[in-house]
Amino acid sequence: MENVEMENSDLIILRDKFESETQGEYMEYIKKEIISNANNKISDKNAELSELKSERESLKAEISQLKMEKAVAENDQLNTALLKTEDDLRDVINDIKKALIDNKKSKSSDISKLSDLVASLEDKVSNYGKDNKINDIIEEQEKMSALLNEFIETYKNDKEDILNKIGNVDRVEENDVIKQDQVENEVTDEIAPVLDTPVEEVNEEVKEDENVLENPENDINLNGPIVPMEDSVTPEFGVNSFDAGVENNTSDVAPVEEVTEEVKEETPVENGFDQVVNQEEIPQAPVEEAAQENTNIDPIPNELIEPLIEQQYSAAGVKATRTFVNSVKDPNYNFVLKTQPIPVSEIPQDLIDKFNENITNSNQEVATLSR
Amino acid sequence: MNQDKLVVNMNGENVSCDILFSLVCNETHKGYIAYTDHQKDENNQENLFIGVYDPVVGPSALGEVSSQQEWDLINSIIEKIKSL
Repeated sequence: MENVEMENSDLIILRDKFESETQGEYMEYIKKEIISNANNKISDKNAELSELKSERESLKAEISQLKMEKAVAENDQLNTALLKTEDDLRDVINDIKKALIDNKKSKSSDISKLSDLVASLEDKVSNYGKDNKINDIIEEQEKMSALLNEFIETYKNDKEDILNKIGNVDRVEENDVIKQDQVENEVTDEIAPVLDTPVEEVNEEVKEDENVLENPENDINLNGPIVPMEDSVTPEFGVNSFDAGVENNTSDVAPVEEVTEEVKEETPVENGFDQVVNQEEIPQAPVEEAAQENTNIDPIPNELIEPLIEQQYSAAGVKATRTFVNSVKDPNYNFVLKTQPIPVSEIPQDLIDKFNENITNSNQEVATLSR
Repeated sequence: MNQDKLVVNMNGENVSCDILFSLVCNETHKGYIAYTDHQKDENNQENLFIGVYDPVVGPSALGEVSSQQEWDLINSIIEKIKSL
């Protein structure tokens, strides 16, 4: 029995020992398995994560590329639109410039016509004593008056057109506009009676005179002796005074020289065309000097009838002063060209207005100063 | 031609300058204005200033001559004026 009990006890010990050892190894085995599995899973997950990261980077690159392409396309589209807008604006600006230059050319042409008419009228006035073409003189004077009226209207409209087309009205100070308007109104008010009233009065007077001349009872000797101009009468720029002289001779038949002598004594009617102009002064500036004698009228600009101080070239409209023309022709005159910008505020507006007005009235392809 | 003058601020001093000539070039679409203060340099040459402006806008600012082509144009104009 003791042996059996002892064997049982040993067996138990052995069993316990075996179980203990077996369990330990098993646990170690289990641990290793678990760790191994876990490492494998981690490796798989890491691999999967790397793949996802790679895919994400690829997508990012693709998105960046698409964004770039989109930006380039939009930029191209925008550039195209901007270029078109710029071209359109440039076309508009060029159209405006061309229109303005054409307008100036047209105005120059009108002034040339006016100058021709003035010359024609002067010629007829100087030859009056020879052929007595009163109607021709009246007709020329009417043409000149109409052209002057048209020119003044065109000038006024041009100012408004330029301001409207450029759209820079906000750059023009209110005082400047008032000043320009005042100048235009003053010019119009002062020149209008010169242009309008005399023609009507002259027409009326001429009709009366023609009636007198056509009346056989008056028997005016139109075929009387023709005397040299210098001996007969100082030619007058206009016909009112002469007509008044004729009117005073309706009762008596008088030779032309007597009639013209009376014309010299007549007081000229107060308008620009009826001022007495010495024939010797006509080649210089007859219209202007005639106007200067009347203090109520601004002189018609020299450029209307004296295109000597300007020259026009095919590529450029040039306006040069007589002083400069004379200076550069002097071999002793030396000059050096420099360029120097000047802020506009340092150019007085009244000088710009005067210069602009003066040039606008010239018969050149115009250089314009205006705000 | 008394109205053909400019009052120019040179070195802080207002100077009355005579406008000598002006032109509008159809090729450059620019306006050029020449003026002088009648001052002479050490070589006894009179100053002749050239200002550039936009003929449409007017001389809101006078700029400088910027190219040789423009200088050639101005010189040719002066030569033609000489030959009048």
